Amino acid sequence: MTAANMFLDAAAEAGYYALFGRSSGPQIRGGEAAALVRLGVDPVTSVDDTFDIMLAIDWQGVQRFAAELPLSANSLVICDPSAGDVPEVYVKTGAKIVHLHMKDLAKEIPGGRPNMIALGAIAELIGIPVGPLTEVLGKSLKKKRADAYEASVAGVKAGAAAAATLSASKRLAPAKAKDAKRWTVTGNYGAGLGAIRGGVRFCAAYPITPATEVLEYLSSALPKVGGVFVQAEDELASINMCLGASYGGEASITATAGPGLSLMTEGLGLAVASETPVVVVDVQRVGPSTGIATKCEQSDLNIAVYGLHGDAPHLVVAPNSVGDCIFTTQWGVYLAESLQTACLVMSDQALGQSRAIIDTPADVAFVGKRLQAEAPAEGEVFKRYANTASGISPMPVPGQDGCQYTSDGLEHTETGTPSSQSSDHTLQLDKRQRKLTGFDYGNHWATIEGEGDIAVITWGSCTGAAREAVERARADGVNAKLISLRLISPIRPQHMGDALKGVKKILVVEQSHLGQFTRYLRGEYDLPVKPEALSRPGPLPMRPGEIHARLLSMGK
Amino acid sequence: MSSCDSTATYSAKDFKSEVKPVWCPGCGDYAVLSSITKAFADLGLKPHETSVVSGIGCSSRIPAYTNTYGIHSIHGRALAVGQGLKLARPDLTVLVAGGDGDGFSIGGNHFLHACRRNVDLTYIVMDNRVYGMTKGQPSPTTESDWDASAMAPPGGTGMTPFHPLAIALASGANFIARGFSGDPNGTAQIIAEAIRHPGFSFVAIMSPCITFREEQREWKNTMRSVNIEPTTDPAQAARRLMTDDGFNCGVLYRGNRSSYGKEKKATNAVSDLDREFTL
Amino acid sequence: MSRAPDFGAVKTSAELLSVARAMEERSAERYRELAEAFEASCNNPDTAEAFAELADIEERHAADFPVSVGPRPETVPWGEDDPEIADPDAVHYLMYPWHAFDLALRHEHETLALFSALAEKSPYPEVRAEAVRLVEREKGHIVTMQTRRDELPVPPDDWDDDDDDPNWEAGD
Repeated sequence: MTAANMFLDAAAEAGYYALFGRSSGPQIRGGEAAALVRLGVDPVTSVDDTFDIMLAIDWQGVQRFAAELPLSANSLVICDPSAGDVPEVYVKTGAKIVHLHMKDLAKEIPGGRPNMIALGAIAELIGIPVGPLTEVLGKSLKKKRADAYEASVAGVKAGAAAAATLSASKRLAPAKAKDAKRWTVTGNYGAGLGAIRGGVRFCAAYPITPATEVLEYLSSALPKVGGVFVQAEDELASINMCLGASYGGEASITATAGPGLSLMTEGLGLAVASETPVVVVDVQRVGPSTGIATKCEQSDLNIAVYGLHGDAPHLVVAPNSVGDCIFTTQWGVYLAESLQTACLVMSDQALGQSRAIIDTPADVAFVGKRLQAEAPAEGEVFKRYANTASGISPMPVPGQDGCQYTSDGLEHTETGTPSSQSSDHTLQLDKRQRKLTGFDYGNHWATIEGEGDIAVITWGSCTGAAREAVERARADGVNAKLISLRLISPIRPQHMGDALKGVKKILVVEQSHLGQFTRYLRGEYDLPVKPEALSRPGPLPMRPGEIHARLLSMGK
Repeated sequence: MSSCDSTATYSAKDFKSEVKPVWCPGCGDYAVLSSITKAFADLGLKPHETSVVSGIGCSSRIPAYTNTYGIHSIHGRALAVGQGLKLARPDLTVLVAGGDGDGFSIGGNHFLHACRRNVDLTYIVMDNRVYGMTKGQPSPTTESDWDASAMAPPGGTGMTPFHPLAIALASGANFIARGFSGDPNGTAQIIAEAIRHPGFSFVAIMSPCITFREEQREWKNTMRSVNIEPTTDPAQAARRLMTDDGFNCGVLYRGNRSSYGKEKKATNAVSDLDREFTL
Repeated sequence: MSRAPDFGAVKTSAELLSVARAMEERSAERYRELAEAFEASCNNPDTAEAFAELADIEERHAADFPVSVGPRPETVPWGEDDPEIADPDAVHYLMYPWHAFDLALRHEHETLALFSALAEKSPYPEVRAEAVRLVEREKGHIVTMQTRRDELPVPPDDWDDDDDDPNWEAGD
């Protein structure tokens, strides 16, 4: 994995965009692992149908990965003959197989390692010069150990030299000139950064795969900006600590995955009822229960939208690329703070744990700001839950004299006093719904690209594959429009109606066995036609080819 | 009460709200409410710089009866909410209050970790050894042979009651005391001392439930003040707590661990964070 | 938590007067609290009214003291064992107004006993003299309470029977 990260940095240095995911076994240390990289001269937001090159240092546990590493007759397999025969599953693809004696080459260099030989070889095959590679090696190794750096540079050079003698090459198109600085970021770190940009200064969280990196980032970044990070004893504590901090006036966030979100739902209900802003990033993984913790699936949609007991309207948003994890999390904080409610940011494993080379993301102006309260006139009672026209009531910060109130999960009157009266219940329900439906979400509710008779409606990490499929279909003369929903809840009927004007067919693309997103769209929106669904479960990622094929058959 | 007057002093009455308690007449929690408001006033606190946080249950209704910034949260989670508030707002005085079911059963894990984490707040448990709000089921502190409940088997649950003070000590609480609702002045003094003491202060207040545990009316004859010097030695405190019959009131342990949390201080601008991602 | 009263705690007649008045005030506050409790949470308006009346009576008793007595002391030397003040748990949700006045009568008797003891045992002569005057005052209070109690219907033997199981109107 270290070698793969270096490879990515070198590719970025050479001017390429990239998307890098990983696949590994359940072992904590030393298990089999595969680095899955796609490079491009334009930004990369999707995996491809097959890989061009597979470089196998060994074949340990490869049967576990076989389905995740699709090859074609055009692919190239580079392997070390000392690691044994190429598995039948790859031989069958008709891919070209070439041998590279990585172990032996490494032995010739004092302190040499096969992964550095591999790194040099692959760079040579695709045309990344040794210069950027040694520069990256220098950055990560030179300070630590000079001898390791020397050995690595020698290994890379030996690998490149050996690869040059192979009768195989997969040269990339030359990179376009960089017009601005680029970023390298994972969705999970991006979510953390977006949170802080949005104003978050408090995070309490419990570690869980695949959300842990959000917390890893925040635990080091928050103190730098005067914030607080706490590792809680469980997810019940994390969400409730966030609510306490938020009540105290600090924008607060926690991150989790399905099992943790299940534990948090009661706390989220309190956020809704007591109108306390809070943001939860759910990095979705394969469920139900522990499921497949390290793989992606978009099957937490139901719990996100419908998982709270009672009538509890709240916000659900979803980033639709690795880079968009920054913006959407920031926007989520802004929305939660503005609307004083819970906001779920539905990331997923494929976004969260993938690393991408992207253009420098815009620093947008969305910083969470609450409607401030003013102390009431002498003799008047402060109304924390005042029934305003917008539904948003001014919220004081503890310390503010004259605005003391009790934040309550019990149904309450406008002042916050517990009440079981029907009129109070209806008034507060209306108010909590009105503030969400009446808010101006601008054009961020969805990413809309292209025009055509067919609309592809999708969300989250499926967006990249859908985008690529739409582009391929257009080249084939089938015109489709991509609609990727960023605001899942509340619904935007007017905007969706406008976006679907003139559309004759709809394809919904999602990674869920039950078709949760399709059901959601059909249940909540008046769609002009009954949509077709391309919905299947994880752990395999949605690939452009399968969507493309479906679009071609729909376009006939 | 005048706003904006930073020198104003507040009486116990100023800390009470206009909302009338829904507690049964004779409930010990009335006196605990008085002790809390008295302690606030005695410490010279200001209502708007004080917060009372609770979960769910009879005693957890208490925030609404105070004129502080209150949070009536969800069952068992008061300590989590209270710690979050205190960590975000170290300038506030945070008091978390609740009952034995809320704190030791559904919220038991948070109790252990709050003791261990040692955030500077005071946790009051009004212990009546019964679930009052749901009509009298046995709680973690109920005697093993108590069976005057529809949900308890004949002869009682047979389970040893929790020893909250010993658990608090073993888990790292920095201040441990027992009070009695029948002695509101003594209890107010204990609460004031608990608030003043740094770190996590735990005050168990025996507060009779005269509706479901009529026999607890006898507590006024069995509870006693202990006039011993509170120890700072956990080993001595452990002996004291483990040989305790549950009727000794007073400060039993005063630890000297420093409280959790660093001073919040920004060393970077938000835009500085971009650097780590820029190629 | 019974403690023997400290008869030497009050050293002057003025001090005793201010303590005695504070006792009446504290007693009024406690009755007011009980009145609110009976009104707010157990649908027993008659007894709520009885406690409110008791609070009024105690306030009048406090007002009987001359203005010159001075400010209310921070504490009363006998603390929670203040005989004038009703135990907060000495009540029952089904109790009758008669019980309320009976309770008050018991406390007036206890206060009388305290002042009588003080009249004998205080080491300070002026305190002993003042205590004697207070004993006379309490005798009057006893008559008031007893008269008022005896005007009320005596509760039946089964006054605390309740066919309904306990319930919590606002259970959460």
